[in-house]
Amino acid sequence: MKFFSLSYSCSLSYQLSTNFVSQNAINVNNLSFNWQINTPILDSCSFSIPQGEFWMLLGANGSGKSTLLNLLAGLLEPREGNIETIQPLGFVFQNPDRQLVMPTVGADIAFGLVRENLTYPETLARVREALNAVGLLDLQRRPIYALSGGQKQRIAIAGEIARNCQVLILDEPTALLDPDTQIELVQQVRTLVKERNLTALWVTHRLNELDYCDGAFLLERGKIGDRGDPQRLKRRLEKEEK
Amino acid sequence: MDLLRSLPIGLYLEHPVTWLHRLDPRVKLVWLLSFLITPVISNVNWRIVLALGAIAITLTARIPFRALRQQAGWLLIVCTIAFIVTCFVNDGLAISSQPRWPDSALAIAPATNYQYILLQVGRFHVTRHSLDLAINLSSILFVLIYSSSLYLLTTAPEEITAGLEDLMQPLRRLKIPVTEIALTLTLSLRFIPLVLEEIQNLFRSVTTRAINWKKLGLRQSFNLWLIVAERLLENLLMRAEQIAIAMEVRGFTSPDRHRVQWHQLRLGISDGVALGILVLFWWVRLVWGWAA
Repeated sequence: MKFFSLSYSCSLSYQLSTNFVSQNAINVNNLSFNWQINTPILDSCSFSIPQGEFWMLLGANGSGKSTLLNLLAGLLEPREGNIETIQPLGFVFQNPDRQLVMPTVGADIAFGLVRENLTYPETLARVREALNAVGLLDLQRRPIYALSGGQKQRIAIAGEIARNCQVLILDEPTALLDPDTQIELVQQVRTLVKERNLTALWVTHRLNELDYCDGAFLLERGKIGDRGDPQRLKRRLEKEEK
Repeated sequence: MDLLRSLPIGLYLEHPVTWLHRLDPRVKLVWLLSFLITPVISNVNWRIVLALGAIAITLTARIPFRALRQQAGWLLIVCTIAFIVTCFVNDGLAISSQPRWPDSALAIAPATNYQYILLQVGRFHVTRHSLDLAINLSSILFVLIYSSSLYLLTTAPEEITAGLEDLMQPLRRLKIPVTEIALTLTLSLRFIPLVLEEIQNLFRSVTTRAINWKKLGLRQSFNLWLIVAERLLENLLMRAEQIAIAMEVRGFTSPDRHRVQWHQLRLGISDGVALGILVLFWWVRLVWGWAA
């Protein structure tokens, strides 16, 4: 397994990365980020996610969730601290229309495989395998515009599975789905994580999704407010809502 | 109103897979171009043959009626209207002649039963020339639109671009970025539904606001549409940027190396047969198809 490490500025981060525990798929140490001085978006966050587990990230609007995800995906560079993740890392956006770039399903999944210089039969095998994993093998030739929201989201996940991503980061993938499809998707991602020994970080606003994960974080004003047992977090948040 | 589903052209039929689907996209493209080019300076018979040929191809491919109803339905209506209108309007030939001699009582029986005016309904009449024009116009309209929509119906968008990319390979010698052009075209084909969706959303946002157009006046409503257009452009640019980010995250390499290996272009026996028939097709056109 290949580890990829982004270390920036801090001497502290170096020390921490030497006692990196290999069971963790994502390690975040003392991560800080800000656009303007004195208004930190992330304020020395530290957490880790064990490999093969399905974790969720909760947080109010403006708590820094999106920034954290963009940092994990490498779209932004941290000001301080470091991030270590297993590569390749797959990212699933909130709106699948943002993610699916090719006109039909099969070609879209093949899009992510170009880097590996595969032959046509290899590409075909990988695409079919990924589609099979999300249970949409019969949609291989369908144009993207003819898919439903839930199907698009699953195709987006299949694209990342085809790339053999070990870590999946999902940014509120159920925000645009109806309740039934929402639960279906969570269940499916959980099954995928367990069957293939993947690691997933799932961002959500919906508390009922917490029933399906192994652990959860709460991000509050740029800091990890709470972490641990999802049921305890769920009860706490439900109480706060009342 | 759902723009995305009611769009009458450019739909791709992924199921059932017909023999037209299995043909190589390059062969199909050459056939399509032949259908588009041969009607130029051809006679009426050839155009009718083309129109019937296009219908025959559809029937032998057993393309389901549901896919055609949307596409061919309005096309038939447009062609019929074009036919009827051209039949009855003035054919542009000034034939109202005046005899040089005063009328004589001598009535000469016509030598043949030739009639320039074929049909007369009140003030309107159908002449030989206008009938010719009408057949020409409606058949050319039908063949051009129908054959392209048949091509799009049976060829996946990225298959088309893969075929184009392959046919453009010789241009690589002239340092033309062929792969980049093909990739851009593929991405833009995916972008069209997104543009329609944006337009639809904006359109709905305007209609739900209960704007009193009469009170607004011309100037104000022009301003309003300007705002909407500006918003549309803004949204589209935002989408394009988001897609660019997504491409980056998903492992985009570089524009001139990112060849998505999805359609294998290989000429089979059926492609050979199709090309053979194409040669015959051109031969018939060049021998008998010229306009008089």
